[in-house]
Amino acid sequence: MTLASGLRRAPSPCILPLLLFVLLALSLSLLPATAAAELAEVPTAAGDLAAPTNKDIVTLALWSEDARANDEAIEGFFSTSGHTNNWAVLVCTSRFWFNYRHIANTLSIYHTVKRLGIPDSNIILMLSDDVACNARNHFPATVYNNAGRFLDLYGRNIEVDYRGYEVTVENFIRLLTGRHESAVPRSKRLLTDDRSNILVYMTGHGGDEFLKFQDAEEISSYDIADAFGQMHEKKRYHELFFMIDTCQAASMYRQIYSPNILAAASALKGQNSYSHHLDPEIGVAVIDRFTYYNLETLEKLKSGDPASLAELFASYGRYAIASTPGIRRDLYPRGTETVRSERVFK
Amino acid sequence: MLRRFFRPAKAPIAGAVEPSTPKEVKRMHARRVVLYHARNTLAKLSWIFYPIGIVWLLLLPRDEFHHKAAVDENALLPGQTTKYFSSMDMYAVTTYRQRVNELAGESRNAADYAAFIQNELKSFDIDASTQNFLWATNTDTVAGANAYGVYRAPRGDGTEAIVISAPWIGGDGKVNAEGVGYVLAMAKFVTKFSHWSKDFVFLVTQPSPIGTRAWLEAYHGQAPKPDAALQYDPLQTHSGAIQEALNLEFGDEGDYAAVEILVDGLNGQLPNADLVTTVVQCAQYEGIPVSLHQSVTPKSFNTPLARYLHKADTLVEYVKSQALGLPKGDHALYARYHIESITLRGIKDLPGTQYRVSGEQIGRALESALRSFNNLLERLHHAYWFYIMPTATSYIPMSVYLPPVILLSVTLIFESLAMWWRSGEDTNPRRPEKPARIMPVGGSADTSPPPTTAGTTLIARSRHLLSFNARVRPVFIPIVTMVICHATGAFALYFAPTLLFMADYGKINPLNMMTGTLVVTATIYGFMIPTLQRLLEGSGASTATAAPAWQVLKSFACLELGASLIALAMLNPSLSAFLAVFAVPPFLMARPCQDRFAAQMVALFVASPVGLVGCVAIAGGGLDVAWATVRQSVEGWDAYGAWLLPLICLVYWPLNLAAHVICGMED
Repeated sequence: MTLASGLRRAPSPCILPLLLFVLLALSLSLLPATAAAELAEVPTAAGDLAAPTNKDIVTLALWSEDARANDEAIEGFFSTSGHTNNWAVLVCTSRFWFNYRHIANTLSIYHTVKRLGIPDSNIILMLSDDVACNARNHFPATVYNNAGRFLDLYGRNIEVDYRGYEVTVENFIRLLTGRHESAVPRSKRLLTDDRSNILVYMTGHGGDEFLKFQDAEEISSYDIADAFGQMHEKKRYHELFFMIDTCQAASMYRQIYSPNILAAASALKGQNSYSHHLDPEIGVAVIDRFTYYNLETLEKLKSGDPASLAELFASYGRYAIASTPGIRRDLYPRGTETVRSERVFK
Repeated sequence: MLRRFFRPAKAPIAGAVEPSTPKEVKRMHARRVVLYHARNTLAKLSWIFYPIGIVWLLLLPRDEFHHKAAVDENALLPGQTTKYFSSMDMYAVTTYRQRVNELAGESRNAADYAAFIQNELKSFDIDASTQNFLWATNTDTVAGANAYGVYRAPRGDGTEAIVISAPWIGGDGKVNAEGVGYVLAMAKFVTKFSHWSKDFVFLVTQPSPIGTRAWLEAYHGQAPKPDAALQYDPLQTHSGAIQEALNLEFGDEGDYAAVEILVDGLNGQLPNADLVTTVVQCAQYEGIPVSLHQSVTPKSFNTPLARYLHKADTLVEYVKSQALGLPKGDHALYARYHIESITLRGIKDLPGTQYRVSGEQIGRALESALRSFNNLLERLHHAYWFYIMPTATSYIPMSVYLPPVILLSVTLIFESLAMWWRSGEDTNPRRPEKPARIMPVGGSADTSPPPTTAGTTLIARSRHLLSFNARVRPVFIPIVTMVICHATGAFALYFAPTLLFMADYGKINPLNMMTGTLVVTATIYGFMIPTLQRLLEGSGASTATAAPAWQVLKSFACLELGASLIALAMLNPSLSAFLAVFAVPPFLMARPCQDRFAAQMVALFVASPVGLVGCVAIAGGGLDVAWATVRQSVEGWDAYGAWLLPLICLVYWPLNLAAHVICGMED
């Protein structure tokens, strides 16, 4: 059967999409000539470009023959992520002595982001803070994340913004969305704008689409998705990296719908997350596997390190972590290869 | 009735109205038929539950019914901490052991012992004091003294405490020198660290367990009544609410083959399974064999039968100790205050093993258990409190062992119902007939409703309906009998301590006295009351259509015994099963039947308390053991409130007497 006879037999509504497709193909083939011109005009200074849209990605996929134009396009486009400040929101949702490792997880990430340069004024740390001075702590006023006890995370210089019973779901959502009562001090507010890259790290006990807060309440994946949605509407972030280390953590990022959010979780739905090792002198597990293997990479980062997030994700070993980490990339059009880890944590 | 659906539709007679059976009548008939069949089946076949229960109980030692022990409270984390108990601490244990042995040789005065313990505890900077008490027994007045010290956790809040106690004289009658040594050494040991979140109370009692009772009552704010047998001083120092208690009995020399755990408390109340599992796991991580009822479960068996017999043996031992419900160690008295407690006892020799347990291992295991309890924030509430332990590392939870125990007594409930129904009808129940239509009488050819083939709209009542056959149930004699039997039991309970006193002082052979009393009473009841009843009946005090009184009495007696045993099954399943096994067949068989009279009397006698004691004597080792059991149950009631004696006297024995009466009544 020839194409023509097939076309003749096709009912008339089918011909229209076929014609449109042909038109699209023709127009796309004509575009490269104009793409280079467009891209050359893109300002390369750190600036006020909005995040690249899908159309731009598609145009970039069709390179021009001019290599220099391509280089410029890449340099000019990818080297500016468009953010001016970094914030971190680090939440530990557990309390009690046997959840020592969750406090250690959160304080490890706190230590890392501080080391890479985010100041305390830009870090919101939410901890139940009942572990360092717990009567059961064999080493009072310390928190370690390693059985070798090389580094005391509680140390001399930490600033906990929400402690004890202040770590509630309501406070967390108010913090993210910025809807505080007037009496709340500035140190407890997330004073971000549309040029802020935010790291949101959560750890604790979780389940399918929920996370347990302080043994008294739960936050669901819809709550988080809506909070991020409000943040997007109020232009409170430029890019957001959501990292979560709990059981069935991947279910927590399923409902997020706002753009420019990248999510990494320690375990998929139906899987548990495991602790890494126990310190017998303290008597409890001191760090979780997912956070431990993240720290292996992050603790080696230095300021200006060109390592990308993709490398971080590639370093996750399913057998070492004992659960399959989940990454959500579909709301993050820039692609993780191009993002320097340091830009997120710095 | 279903046949109506399948009948071909009849052509209606012109002008005639076919009266159909109203559906209310159909429903009534259906209900009567169902009830008839249900009653019949139940009355005839309810005895089947007893053998099913027995067979099910015999299946319990099998491995399929056992759950492997696992700690349910995630905070406990047994064995995960480094153990700091060292040979220096063990040296303290052995030194104290020698000093305790010396002191026990020099003085018999409890106050001296208490003073020694208090001084030693004070030397560790622990807040120590003593408590004196007086206990009036049948033979003399004992002056006892407890010594205790409260170590306040340096960074804790002092609202909760863990008790580590040791009796001065152990359960075997020897000085518990090593146990007291461990208490003092642990007192010294805990002061070296600041990672304790709860206070510790170190307690040494003499004599035990009455000393523990005095201490616990004073600790919880009670004061003795002026005429009570136990008089004690109030306490001078206190800590917070006691969460767990560990009692140590390690004899007068070091060197053991295994450590035994004693779990059940007063009246068969058990501690939380997590406590037992934690202690056992901490011991096993140190390589200590843990034994339950003097036997350590071997790792493998030669044949499946050997495995079954070993587990059955352990279960029978467990049943024996829980059924009596008498305190076997100091830990038994903590249960009524909702304090989880356990006793650890060192066993010197175990047949079949050469392995020796060192004192350091025991010390480290104790420290490990204390660190686990230290982790707790709440009372233990995740694991169950009702279980049976076939081995030290497995459990049979209540959901598995309760059905057979209850099934044994369910027969009595159904028997009671069957007797009640039978006493209500004067003829043997017959299958209800379908209500018949009243046929029209004759036919008047002239007038209005034309005759129909189906009959009139009127329905006659069946002949064998209950309402025509009902009998009056005589309740006067049964109730009076029950009241007299229970009054006898109450009388016996009231006088039991006095009888014990007489037995002690008068040097009368107590077994003779007891047996004589009970047998005479049973005989009197077996013959006197039935004779009385016949006199009454002959006097015309009852009506002609009254049901036989024995059926109603049997209904009451079976009901009360069945319900009591089922209620008891929850609290003390061993006792319930033990009593049911002996009591159910005689009760089922009890009826005024002349040809089986002797057999019934024998069966009822075996089921009576005297008979049960006799069975214990035959099975367990002689009259001494039997007498000791009786004596301990009376003392247990007197001193600690163990309710074995009240249960037997107020519920079991009166019903046994009532069953005797049934056998003698008029048919």
